[in-house]
Amino acid sequence: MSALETLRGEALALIEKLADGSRDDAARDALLDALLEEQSRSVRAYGRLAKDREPGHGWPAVPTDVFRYLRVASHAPTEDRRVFQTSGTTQGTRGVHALRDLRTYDRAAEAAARLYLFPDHPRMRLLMLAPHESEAPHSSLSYMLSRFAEWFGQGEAIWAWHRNRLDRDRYVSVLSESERSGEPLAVLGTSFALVHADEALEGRRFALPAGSRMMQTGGFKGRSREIDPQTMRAMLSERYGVGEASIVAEYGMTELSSQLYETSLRDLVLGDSAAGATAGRRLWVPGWVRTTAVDSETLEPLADGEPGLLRIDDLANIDSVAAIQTSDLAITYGASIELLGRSPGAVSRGCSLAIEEALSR
Amino acid sequence: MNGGSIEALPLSPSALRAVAVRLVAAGETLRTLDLDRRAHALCKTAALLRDADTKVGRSAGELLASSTGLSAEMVRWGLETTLREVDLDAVRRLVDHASRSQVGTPQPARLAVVVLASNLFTAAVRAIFTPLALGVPVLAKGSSRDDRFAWLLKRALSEVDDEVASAFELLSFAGERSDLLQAAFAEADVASVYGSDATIAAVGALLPPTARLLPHGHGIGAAFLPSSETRDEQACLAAMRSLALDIAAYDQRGCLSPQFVCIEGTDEELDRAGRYLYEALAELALRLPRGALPTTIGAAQMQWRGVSKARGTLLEGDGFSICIEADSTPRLGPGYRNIALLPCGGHEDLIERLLPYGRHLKALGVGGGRAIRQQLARSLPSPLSPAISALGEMQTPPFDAAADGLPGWSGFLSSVELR
Repeated sequence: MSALETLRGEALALIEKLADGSRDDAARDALLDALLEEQSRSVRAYGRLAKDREPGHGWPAVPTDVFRYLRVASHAPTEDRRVFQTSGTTQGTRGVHALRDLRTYDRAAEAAARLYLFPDHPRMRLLMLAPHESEAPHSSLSYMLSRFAEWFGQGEAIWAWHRNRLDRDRYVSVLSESERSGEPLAVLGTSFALVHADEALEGRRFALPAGSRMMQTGGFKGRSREIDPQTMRAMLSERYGVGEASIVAEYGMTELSSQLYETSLRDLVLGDSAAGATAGRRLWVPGWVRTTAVDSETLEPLADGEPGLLRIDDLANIDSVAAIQTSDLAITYGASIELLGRSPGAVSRGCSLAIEEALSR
Repeated sequence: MNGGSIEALPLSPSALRAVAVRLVAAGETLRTLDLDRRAHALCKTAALLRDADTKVGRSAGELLASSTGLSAEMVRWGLETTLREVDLDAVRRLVDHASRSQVGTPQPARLAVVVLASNLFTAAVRAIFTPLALGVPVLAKGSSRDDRFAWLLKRALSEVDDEVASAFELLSFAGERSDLLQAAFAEADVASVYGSDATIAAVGALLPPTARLLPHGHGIGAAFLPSSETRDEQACLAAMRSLALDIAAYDQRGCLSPQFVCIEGTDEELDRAGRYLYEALAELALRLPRGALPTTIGAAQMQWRGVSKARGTLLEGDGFSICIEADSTPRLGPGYRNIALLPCGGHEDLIERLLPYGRHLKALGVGGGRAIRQQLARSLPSPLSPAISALGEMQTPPFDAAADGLPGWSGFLSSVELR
């Protein structure tokens, strides 16, 4: 068995152990170190980034843009089991995350969702506002939601977003049926699809039964009007009759295998509503993931409570690189983070980046 | 010719229309003043702002470091190198060329509205002084992010010459106010607009059909080092020292700043050029330090450097970096002294790399002598129309230099042709 496969087994075992929400940071960090060392040998792009690393010092993280320009994988393309791509952006080339083995991805995704999205219902009716994986085979979100349908769905999940459009009739029909039957519903979708749905529904309001919940994820990507998180929650709560604590934001990205969730629903279900009110809008970091805010220039780690660019070390990222550097701004608080978005109060990006964007259109 | 207090303009459409009408009248007075009077006013204003011992010169140095984000040393450099170009000969040359280039009787615009960008504070000098030199009154809209320098220009001009100053007003407001802009444009014959393509399009849509739009969109610079310079160690060293200034100036934020350098030579010569540039940028960082790095730029820098390191060679210094990538399409960086060196096979290869940028390529710095620059100037195909200069001079164009491929006075004068 190769070193990477041994590490995959160990990562799976640790994810399994921590799937109940417990933590073992020492075990996580030791395994991350070993994994990154192996990946520096087996992933060419990472080897180049890590070549100047001094022994005993931390491993560098791969900036997400590297996935747009280079293959970041320890295996040959012929062994790709699944290839996820970032959505098309104004920057042109899409980032590619190639996976040979989906076990750590699946286990991590199921464990986190069970804890923070479905802590009280092993299965429930699912309504998806995102494309099915058959329509978007390179979307990691579509893959994840299709697995959710298998793991958490009660009956057939309904997909109400096809070819970039809302199937309004179907969407309304499922919502109305939930109202009539009293069977709680989980509505899971992208932010821009939820905004489109809100506009399409016009004056129509719903009162979904107790136990219903919503998951929103992703940015607006220039495909709808942009709404801040608080306004979005209030809008969804009013539209669907779901309490704001039951509206959960999910943070994931193509370059990662794990996801982070807001804790408000779990806190509510476990009766810890006070904690949900303030800490609920933070994102819980799974025990097999390490988050660090780093200085935007030196990339040195910052202390908890200080805003910086978010670095994510994900043990489930076996086939690529476990250490990912994002451009997102965040504050870490131990086992949770507060996402501040992309550099609030940003200064103009300047001529050259504007030109690159213009030329990429 | 006493200076007066500078009051902010009232922010209502009707008040601005009145200001525009007043400026048109002031323009008629401006044109009765002879060229020498106007030229002296502009040159004395420039001198006043350059002089750190004057009140307004001192204010410029103090205020601009914090508002622009540039270091105090870079602000001083920008003021000195831009304002020294405003001399009597240059102003007279501009007006003389403008007059002689008209096919008929030159007609100055009744009013120019100038919309300023924020990325380069000194761009306001030519933007405002060129029309004034030509006898065209100016209503300038400062950038909502930073308009301090424009206010300092107005203040200094008011101290030097009341009558010339009365033909220049400055409008300042934050956020989108298309109603105010439309009112400002009501009497304008020409709108000179600096900014992104989106800004230019949005502003252009507000213009009355009788007004002419002079767009100054976003752009980049590039540089080229021919083999005659790369193969000779001393020539290469000198070229990299000059190039370092082009890169460091204004922290590489301006449209004339080189974002990549095409180097004709062997792999070893390319590496050597990279090392020389590294030394030059490190040395320059002591004399002209980089300003603070905004978080957004830090994020963009992190991404750009990461790809550079994964694909090529990255030389990281304190506040700058040099990426050497072979066989790659230029990947534009975030500025702030991050530069890419690319191998180049000669003029044809260079042109191929430059063509995708079209009219967005505003400046090309070229190593070697004038003959090489002339050869390139003759061989660049449309739509390429950069200003070609020697290395070290990319960011210090003369006052009467062309802008965006057109003479600096273009658009401010029209002709009445008598057939």
